[in-house]
Amino acid sequence: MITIYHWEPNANSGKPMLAAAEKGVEYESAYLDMLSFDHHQPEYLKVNPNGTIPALVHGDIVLTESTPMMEYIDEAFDGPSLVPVNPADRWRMRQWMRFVDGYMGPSLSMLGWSIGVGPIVRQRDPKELEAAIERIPLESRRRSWRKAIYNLFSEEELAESGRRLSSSLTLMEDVLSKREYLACDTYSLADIDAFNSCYAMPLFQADLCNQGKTPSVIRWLDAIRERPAVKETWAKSREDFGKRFEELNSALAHN
Amino acid sequence: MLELFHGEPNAISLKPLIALEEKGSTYRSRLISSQPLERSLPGFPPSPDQAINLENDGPVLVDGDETITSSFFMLEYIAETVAGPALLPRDANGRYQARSWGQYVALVLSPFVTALGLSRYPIAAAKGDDFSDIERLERRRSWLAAGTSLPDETKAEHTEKLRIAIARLEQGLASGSGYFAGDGFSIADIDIFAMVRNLEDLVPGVLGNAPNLKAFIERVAARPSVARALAKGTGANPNECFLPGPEPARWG
Repeated sequence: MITIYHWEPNANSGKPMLAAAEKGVEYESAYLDMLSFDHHQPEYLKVNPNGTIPALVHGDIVLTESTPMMEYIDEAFDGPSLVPVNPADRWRMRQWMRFVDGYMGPSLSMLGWSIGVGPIVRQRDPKELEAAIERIPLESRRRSWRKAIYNLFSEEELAESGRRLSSSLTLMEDVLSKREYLACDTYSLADIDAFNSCYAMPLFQADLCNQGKTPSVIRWLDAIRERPAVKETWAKSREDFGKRFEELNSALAHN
Repeated sequence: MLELFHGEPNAISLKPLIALEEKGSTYRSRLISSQPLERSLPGFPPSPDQAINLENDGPVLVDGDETITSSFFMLEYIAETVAGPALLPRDANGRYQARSWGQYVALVLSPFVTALGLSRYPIAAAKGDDFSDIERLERRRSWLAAGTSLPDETKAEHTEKLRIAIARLEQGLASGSGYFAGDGFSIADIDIFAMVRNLEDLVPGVLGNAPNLKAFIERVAARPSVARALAKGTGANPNECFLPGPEPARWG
């Protein structure tokens, strides 16, 4: 039995959850409330001293990088493979995961924190918040969190994120108009990775991601949302993220 | 036959050369000059799959109809498709370690190594060029910066981050076999070696607190594949040749 330490099933936390669900790998779910900074508490730091989520514990092996973690799940357990057989398709899978993890995702999460998560977190007691930031083990993460929590993004940075998102969507629309999924015509880890960053775009970036501008991206998101493993995983949501997921489903039903 | 387009054998360009030499593979080495890929390779990138490469001007491997970019994923591709000695760890955990290092090198280490490299050895031909033919804005920006040295303040920031990365690499070698992933030489070692082999030249003394990493560099440098890979240049000193690499993370 493996244990996955995670927050909501979106972004990085959702990657190992979804990969495991698709494979039919049972796991013990250890939910950490990221907005209460559970992942910087001593108990979790014993599992992952860097205090990042998700983490996967398999016997005495502890994995903490979400994208390589998905390939581990695929290789270490039985079940349908989520990694294409053709080496060039595998390369495409990894290439798209890196693009989402290193370029598109950070732009999306900067915008997301600025308009969504940041205002929620700032409702907390300022002293408590500052103490919570000071507990973050990695200096680079402390910097990112401080920026995110206090919305220290400049207009230029936010505009740059918008530009990157827009150009990413153009590239994504291009490939998804030529093949069924991101890496090839079969569902792979690249789709899980990208879906977890992009699923709410039709709600929050509706001006860029819609039926008129990006029909193939919409088709792709709709298809993934319908997968039993995705529904099962999203049922583990405890926050508004789950409601948002339902909202997307009902928007789909009314189309 | 595999065709590898690469810059002078240093940093990101050096990686696939070492891997192909380790494999004992026959391949065509095609040296490209210090200018944006689009100018050396007409029609590049052939599709969005190559356009999304975050490395800017890394090597390009052509295998029949397929065009492979991104140096670590290229190493995985070579390890998976080319006959010869295994370059992937045998077990899933070892491969996880290799991929985690690959991610760390690409997103954290490489931006600072390539920027400091270019700062020490700017590309003379890049000065005065407006690169208006380069479509992707990030790429145009990285080439516009390639002709000049970094301001002192930026250099100091990059150096500090490089020191943190080196401490992490040193820690990665502390417990084990002398290799970064699994119990033998792998693509993780090639990936890291190519980026750190000459850091003392860029930042004197930077490996002072990293005895394990220093020993690792010496050990890998002694492999015959490395000498053969380093000979795939024009004869210019490859240690002085850098190309724009990935950009530093925008959040941290």
